[in-house]
Amino acid sequence: MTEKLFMTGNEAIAEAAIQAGCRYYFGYPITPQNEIPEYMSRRLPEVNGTFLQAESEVASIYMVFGASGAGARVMTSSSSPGISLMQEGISYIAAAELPCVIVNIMRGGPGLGGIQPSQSDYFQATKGGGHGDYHLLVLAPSTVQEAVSLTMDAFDLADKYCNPVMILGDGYIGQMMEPVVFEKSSSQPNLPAKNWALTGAKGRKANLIKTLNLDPVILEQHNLKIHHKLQEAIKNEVRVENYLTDDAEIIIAAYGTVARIAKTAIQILRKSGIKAGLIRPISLYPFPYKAFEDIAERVDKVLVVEMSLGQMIEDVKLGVCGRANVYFYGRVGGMVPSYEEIIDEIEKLVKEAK
Amino acid sequence: METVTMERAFGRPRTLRPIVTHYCPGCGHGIIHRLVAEVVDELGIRERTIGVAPVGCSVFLYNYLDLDMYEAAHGRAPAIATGCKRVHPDLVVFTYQGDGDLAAIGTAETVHAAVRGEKITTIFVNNAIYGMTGGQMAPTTLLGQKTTTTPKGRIVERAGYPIRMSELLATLDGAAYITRVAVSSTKYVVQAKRAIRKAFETQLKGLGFSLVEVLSQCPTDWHMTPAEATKWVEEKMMAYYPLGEFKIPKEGS
Amino acid sequence: MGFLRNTFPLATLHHTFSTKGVAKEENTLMTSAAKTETKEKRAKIEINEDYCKGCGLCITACPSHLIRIANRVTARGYYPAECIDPEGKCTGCAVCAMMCPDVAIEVFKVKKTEGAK
Repeated sequence: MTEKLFMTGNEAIAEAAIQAGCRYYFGYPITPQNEIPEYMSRRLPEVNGTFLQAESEVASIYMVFGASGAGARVMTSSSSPGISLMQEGISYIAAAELPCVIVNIMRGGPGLGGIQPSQSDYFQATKGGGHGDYHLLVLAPSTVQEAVSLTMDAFDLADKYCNPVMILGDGYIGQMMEPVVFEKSSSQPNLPAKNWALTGAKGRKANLIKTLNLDPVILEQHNLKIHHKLQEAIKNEVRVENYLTDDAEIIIAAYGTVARIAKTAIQILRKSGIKAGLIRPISLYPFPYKAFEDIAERVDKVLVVEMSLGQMIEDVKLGVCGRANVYFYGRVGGMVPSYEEIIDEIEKLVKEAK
Repeated sequence: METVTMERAFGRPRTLRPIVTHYCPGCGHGIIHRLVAEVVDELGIRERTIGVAPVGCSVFLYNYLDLDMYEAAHGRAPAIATGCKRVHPDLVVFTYQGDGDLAAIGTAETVHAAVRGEKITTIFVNNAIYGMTGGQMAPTTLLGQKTTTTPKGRIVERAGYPIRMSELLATLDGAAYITRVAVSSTKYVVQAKRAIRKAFETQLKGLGFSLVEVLSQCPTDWHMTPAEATKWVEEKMMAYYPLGEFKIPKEGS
Repeated sequence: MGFLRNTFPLATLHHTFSTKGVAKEENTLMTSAAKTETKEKRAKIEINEDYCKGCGLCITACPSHLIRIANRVTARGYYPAECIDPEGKCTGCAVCAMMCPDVAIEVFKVKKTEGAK
């Protein structure tokens, strides 16, 4: 499909998954991502795939576990409260080293919260969420087109690292409509065959997919194996956009929808003589610490803008490592920062310096 | 001189690995594992069967049955089995679960697999107690039964009534074969094997969800000898959990 | 470990402990591992003491009451069951094996005889 289509982010993500070879979707309705299961329910039968609306997010994530263990490319999607329900299953999937893609279209929280966008699940996505030492690879699109390409990459990354991968969007990305082109691309050719999958023990030893290891010696080894896998990902899979950072005197750090708003703010700021730049992490795990390490050499103020009370800011501070001042501006509960608010904050910070 | 040859008439089924189990002396799991293995061998489906092990005493099911297997999270086996069966509709997928797994934390997954008429088979081992964790109350614990969390016996006001899962699931249209059996003495073991075979055949015929509830003795947590425990199954458990077929596949019995 | 010993009939051997459960000394009773077959025997069972946990379900099941708990401990620390069948009463009904949770019992039945009496 190289024609340009006008689609919502949710539907584009679903179509991208199908183009990447995903043939199984298990999920449960929750606003603001219902277009994903609805699209899948229409499209998957067209490609001889299976759509199943599960009885809960808990059941969904374990159906993903089952389908992934059976060797299939499989996906689920939800929004914040539903992703919370999936955390146990995600821990199990990571422990079993199974590939899958999980889409979180974030909404205001905590609790039942609201249905407007937020970025309050950053900690949950990048720092754990479920119990145990594991990490999701987390990709945060900022446009519908980027959501398409990151979703396609997510399946490859999941298979490459035998690890769950999360697409972290928000209600804006999910609901807005933008022109999008589907160019089938794989950033990870030569993926290994899934010899570990459960397909019936015909002509081979029985395969086992488990996560229990009562012997601490073995469990430690297993944890280290996963850890080393993730270290490889840290080396190879960092993605970041540096927008007008070369001559920047002050930096904004933002991802997803907020990054787009920040770009507008930057364009206006530059017109008024303030050389602002944006570092936009695209992979939230692995986090682009180096981009912040580097920028701290040249700039001494970084304003982190999030739709939360400050989550990514902790990683920015780690990257900057005290060599620049890190400030925060955020909106929560479904409120979205406007470019004017960001401009005000930057102007305040620039004025302080003088 | 007369020569007498002895032929082996009963032995370990191929699908049951020659491993000493960790189960307590007299535990019903060993019998049920063997019956499942015998049925798999007799139907000739070992190479196309995938099992899902639970959390509970039988978490190590995958050590004992020589099949492709998953280890599920507590209660989630029917969901995992669903994911697997949807990917491999031509394979035989079964879950093996205890009463905590199936009737407490996993009730929703159990019910909805039956609701969907998921073409999987569930072996439900009901010993009216939580075995692995040391003998706490289960949803299937009988009124008056003493457990570590009902030290004076289960009473209705605090803990409600025991749940009859077979009867409950039999009300669902997607359930094709629901039956309750026991393994407390030989005649019941023979019936139980027949039921397990029928359940797998229900799946092979694509008729819908099949479940065999097996009343099972737990000598250790009931604080009885194995012989006393089998008696307790027959005298006390069968009175509340009657044996029988609650749903029969529409094709006929 | 007292309760099982009080419940089931015990062998009265002169020695009590051996590693594999096979009597090292000759005695008047045949052990279940005995390979000698008499003409009358229609069937026999073998109880593998690597697996037997002495639960006694086979003892309750046997309609001819040929099984009992041995007065010795296996390497795993259990008092195993043993079949004592000097008169060849075992019919090979396999009810004991069907009840055994540890699949410790193999049942053998006479298949064919050759030659004339």
